[in-house]
Amino acid sequence: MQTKISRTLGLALTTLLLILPIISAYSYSPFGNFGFYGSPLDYLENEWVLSAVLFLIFFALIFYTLNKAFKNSAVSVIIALGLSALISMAIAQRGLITAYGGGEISSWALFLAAAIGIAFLIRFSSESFGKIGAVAVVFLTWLVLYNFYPEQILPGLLADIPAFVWFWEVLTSWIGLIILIVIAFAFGGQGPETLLESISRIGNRRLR
Amino acid sequence: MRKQALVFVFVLALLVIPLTSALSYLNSPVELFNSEWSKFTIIVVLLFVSIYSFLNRRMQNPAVSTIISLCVSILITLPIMQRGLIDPFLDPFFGPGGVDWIVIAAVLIAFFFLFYKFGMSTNEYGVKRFSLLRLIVFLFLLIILAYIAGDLLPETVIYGPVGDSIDWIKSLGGWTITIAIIIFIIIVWWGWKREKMGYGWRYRAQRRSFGGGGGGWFGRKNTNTGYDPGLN
Repeated sequence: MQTKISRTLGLALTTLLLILPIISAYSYSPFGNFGFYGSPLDYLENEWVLSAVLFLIFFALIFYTLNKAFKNSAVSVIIALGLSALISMAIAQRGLITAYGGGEISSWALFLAAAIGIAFLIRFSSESFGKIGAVAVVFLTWLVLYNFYPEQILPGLLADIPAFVWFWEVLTSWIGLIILIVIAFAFGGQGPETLLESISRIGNRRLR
Repeated sequence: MRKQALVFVFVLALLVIPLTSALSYLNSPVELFNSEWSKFTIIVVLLFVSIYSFLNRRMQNPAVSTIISLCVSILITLPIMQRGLIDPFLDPFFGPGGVDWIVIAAVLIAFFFLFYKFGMSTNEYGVKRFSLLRLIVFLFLLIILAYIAGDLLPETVIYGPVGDSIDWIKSLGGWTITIAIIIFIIIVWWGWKREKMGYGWRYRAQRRSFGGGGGGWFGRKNTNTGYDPGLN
């Protein structure tokens, strides 16, 4: 029952977000998709919304930790509410969420999220498809990085270090690609089965 | 039944949108899916699913995992949208066009599966084996398809080595191409026959080596004397 409700809620939320440009009169513009609320940034780059998002994150984390220790939901909720309100208020007071999307904090968030995501993706593909999977993910990552300038992705602190920018340029060059592929091939796991076996299993045949 | 109803409602909604939508500038689904809201939704959903599956495995608490992963995915998506990091992959005006690469990858995967299904040869034991000859035939068919659908090819391909090869083929002229195709067909036919002859050769050789009746070398009966004509 719980799963069904969650699934319905998720589906409704996704559908709402997708059809919002059609039903929202605010997003209308005679010149195309440029009206106010024509982009989610018009809505989300707002101190109220960002404070609420941060508040929710802190609330969930604190509640989860406290409830494990106290085993008492009511007490955990009250403490978590108070603490998360104080933390998000302090963050908003210092102006850390003003212009979050284009600021330095978001750069670090993006950089760290990308680094962690790529690491997990390489591990997953290496375990599932072996060396070929690791090489494929490394190649796709290189292709993504190749299309960007370092200033677009890297935080300002890193982009100002010449040695780091030089390392980035080497990494996104063709020589860098070859080095990355060799490393991925050398350190890529064996995987539970090879890629060819996975594909042949799809076709219900075994390839010798 | 519910799934069918859901699909029916979805298709009906797509069909009715042009009639009911007051905002006539959204008269194409491309405009809807190319809108900032749709891009935002797609990125949020992808991030949410990845983060949620990881968090819930660790925390074993769906409610907390949902809240954290939803908020974190929104916080990651915001700078992606703000900096326009998704645009080079979707819009050919901004960069090399990631859509081109998606089309190329899709064609290559389809080619791989089609070759595996229809291009691999099967030996006498029913085991599938790689055949270079058949790979060449499939590549030739792929080039013909690319030649026919030249205008539909992604820009990355048209201005790349494949496009150059197609231009070179076009510059040869109709008669040259026809003669080349005929020669190619003859070579393939000869190769196919040779491939089959190869199997026959091995089969007869096996019978000669291990005994058994039937036709022998050039119709001679196998005398099983141990004589091995040309096997070594």
